[in-house]
Amino acid sequence: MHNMANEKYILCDSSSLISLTDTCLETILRFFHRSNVLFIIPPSVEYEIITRPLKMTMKAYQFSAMRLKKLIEDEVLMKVEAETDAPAKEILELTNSIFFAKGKPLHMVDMGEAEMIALAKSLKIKTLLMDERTTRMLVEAPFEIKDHLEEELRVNVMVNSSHLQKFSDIVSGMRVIRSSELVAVAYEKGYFDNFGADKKKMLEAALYKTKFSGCSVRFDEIEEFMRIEQ
Amino acid sequence: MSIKEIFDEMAGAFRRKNSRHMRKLNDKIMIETAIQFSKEMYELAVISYVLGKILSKPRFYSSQYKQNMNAIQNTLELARKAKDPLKLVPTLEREVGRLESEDPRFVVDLFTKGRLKMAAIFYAQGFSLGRASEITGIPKSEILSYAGKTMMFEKVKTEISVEKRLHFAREALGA
Repeated sequence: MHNMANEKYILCDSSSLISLTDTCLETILRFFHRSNVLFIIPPSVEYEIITRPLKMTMKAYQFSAMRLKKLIEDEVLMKVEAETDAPAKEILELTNSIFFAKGKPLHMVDMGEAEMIALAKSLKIKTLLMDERTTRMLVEAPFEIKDHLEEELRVNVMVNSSHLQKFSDIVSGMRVIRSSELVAVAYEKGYFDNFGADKKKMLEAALYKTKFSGCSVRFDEIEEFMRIEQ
Repeated sequence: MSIKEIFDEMAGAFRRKNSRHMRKLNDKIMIETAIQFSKEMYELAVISYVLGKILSKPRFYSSQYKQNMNAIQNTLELARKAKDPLKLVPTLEREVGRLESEDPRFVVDLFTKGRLKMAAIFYAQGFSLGRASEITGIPKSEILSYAGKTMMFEKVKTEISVEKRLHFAREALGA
């Protein structure tokens, strides 16, 4: 690995990489890489965003995969393997037994998402880049997810407090950012400067585009971004 | 609800051309699938969605489609009487395919669209993207793209403000 002392590490979930390539904004990763930011992915994410789509018969899936493959070849994205099987299984079991409906545990996340958290913990990486909503909410505000599940499923959802506490201890100190924040900070650092007087308009357009590509950002949050980035 | 009861209701709603009933049945099945997930329930959710879609299109009631509509109805009747109704699902899918092939309007067929829509609903209900993809077999990229064009993200407020999240990002990116 590179000289770790000067580098900043961000662990990327497949959701953000998918929305960044879908919006053709993955060059933002290159932009930050030039200032020593390393974007890390676990092998499961590489499989999901590159290996699997490249094997699919539908050629449209290969568009994002090829662009992401190039980012790995150029070492902007770094695949890091770590022994996370056991902790990932523990996280999976925990997250899938926090909420209960009609006496049954709600299986909220899959192995890939559990692996992400296990890898962040193992590598002591504090920042996760994640556009996916549920895992982010589990990390940040699990009771909001409980309320949402109750509203959607029209049943009472019970919480196993001890499992929730154990999970909260695991993710304690982790912070989640989305593609939208990446785009906004890139704007602050001059990424859109070549658009001259239109650069703010371009930021707004890029934020909307990331939303429509699946980044879990709300309309009012985009308005807030635009107020902040005066 | 048992599988047999669901097929009874689906056949009844299709016979009466009651798309509203079919949609309500689909809602019920989706909730059941979310709580006690099984592949079978998921398939039934997709079928009820597809049948609801067919019933909502007036063009399918014209004489041009009579034979195809009857074939779907007959398959549903066979399924509700069958010991294992799910064995009739491939036949049903084939019949729906024949109906669509009379006048194809989309690249994606109704069953594929139904599977994607059900996957996006799982995600919207509160299950993770990975879980929705795992349950349905639909790639994450498809679910994300669909979800991004819905209002699902507007429904859940977060405790972390944009200002604070931007602060996290600036710190992480060394800005």
